[in-house]
Amino acid sequence: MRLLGIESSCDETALALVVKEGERFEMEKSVLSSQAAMHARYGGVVPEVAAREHAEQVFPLLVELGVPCDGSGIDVVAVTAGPGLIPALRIGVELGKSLAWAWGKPLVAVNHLEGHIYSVWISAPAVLREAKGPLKSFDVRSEGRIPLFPSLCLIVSGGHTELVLMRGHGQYELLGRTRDDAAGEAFDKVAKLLGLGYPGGPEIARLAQEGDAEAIALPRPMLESGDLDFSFSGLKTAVKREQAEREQRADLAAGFQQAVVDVLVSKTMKAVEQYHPRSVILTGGVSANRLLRETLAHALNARDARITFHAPDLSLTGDNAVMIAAAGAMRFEAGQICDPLTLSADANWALVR
Amino acid sequence: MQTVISSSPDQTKQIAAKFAATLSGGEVVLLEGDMGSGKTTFAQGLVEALSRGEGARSPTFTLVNIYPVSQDRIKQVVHADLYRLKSDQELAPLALEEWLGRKDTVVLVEWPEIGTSVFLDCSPIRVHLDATSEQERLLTISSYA
Repeated sequence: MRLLGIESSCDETALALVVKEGERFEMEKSVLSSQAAMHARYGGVVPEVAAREHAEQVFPLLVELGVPCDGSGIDVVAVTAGPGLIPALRIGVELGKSLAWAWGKPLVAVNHLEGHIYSVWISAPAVLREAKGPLKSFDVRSEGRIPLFPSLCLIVSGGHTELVLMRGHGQYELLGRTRDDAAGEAFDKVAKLLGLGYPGGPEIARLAQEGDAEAIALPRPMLESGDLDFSFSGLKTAVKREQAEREQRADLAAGFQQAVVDVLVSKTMKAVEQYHPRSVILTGGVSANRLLRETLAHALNARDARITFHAPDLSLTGDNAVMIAAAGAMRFEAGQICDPLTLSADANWALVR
Repeated sequence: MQTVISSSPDQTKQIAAKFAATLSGGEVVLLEGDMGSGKTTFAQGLVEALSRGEGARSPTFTLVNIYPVSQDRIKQVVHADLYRLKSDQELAPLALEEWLGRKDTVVLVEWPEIGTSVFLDCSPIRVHLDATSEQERLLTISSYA
């Protein structure tokens, strides 16, 4: 099965061609015009700017992807229909509807979070992995293996921090989530407090290397809350308070990163104890954080080496259309096909209703 | 103008719940204050009081969260966050004007400064949060005159 994936839910316009072979996916081609450089000027995602850029970039990207204008060779069109920024989402959704309708091909609506989960089913071309140089040794993905059900998924990004139990394809149970700020949002806001650039994750991780994570005591919010929810708003406030009295930005960055990682890993391990998953999936933009990957991998290994650990290839941690195509294939096989005349974007589409 | 001191996030939520009880629909509430002053906490207290359960999360990423309310008069709280916007021209795609002033809707706006000119037409209620110490917050509730 060959799928066209379309993703435009936030600051990334992305298209991809993906082939499903057995239980895995091969990325044939992926194009994305990251707008990070443009948003860096503004210190955040700007919806109007994002939407305008999506509209301008869609057709050049289609050409770059090499999609024949009659859609020949494509079996399914998969598009992110939510959650996200509505003006940005609409561009991708309308493109998907138009192509599916004109080509007479089935259209599948994919939840953006589901896309992130399916990013660990994808084999990135070897060339992409090699291109990452020193990071190659740090690809902790269970090479060649796919997750086993039940899988525990920790989705961490700019807009989401959720623990989801997956008992089978398309079967999701929400175990916990942030009550206020998402982990990636906390990275962005703390980066701004520390005078760093956007996106905040890589900037903080870089500065943290020069700092001592134990120099400044920061809280570990919700660690003893007894449930699997998160809260990062208070941590941001704590960094602000400490910053007023100290000048060691690197220590603050290191302490903050460690606090976020401690909370994420601790809650994930609590969920492991409660639900006994056979696999753990770490995904979303924040899953690129090396400290988080390593700490979680070690914690899982120490607890039960039989639990397989899966995180996306580093080229697939951010928003992309490859993961949307992969999740779309699963939905297509489950018969969840949309009417291209009536599908509409849903900014608040919850993975678990 | 009314001022009240909160000494904890829980108390901020309680103050917000009391404030929520004075709303009858159609109000536009502007939440002002620095990062970490408790705007989202206040919003959570307000939304929880009205929706009886579902908690509000930060809309910084999604920009607008809509929470259904099952009351006689108020049917939804629209929770917006303009933190990332850099000019009032960027307000249009959020389609907030579809909600402003609707009798069955309470619109709650964090970081409203960029859209003040738009909100002034709706006689907004201003809630200003000021961190006076580590835990203490001074809340000032006033009309925007």
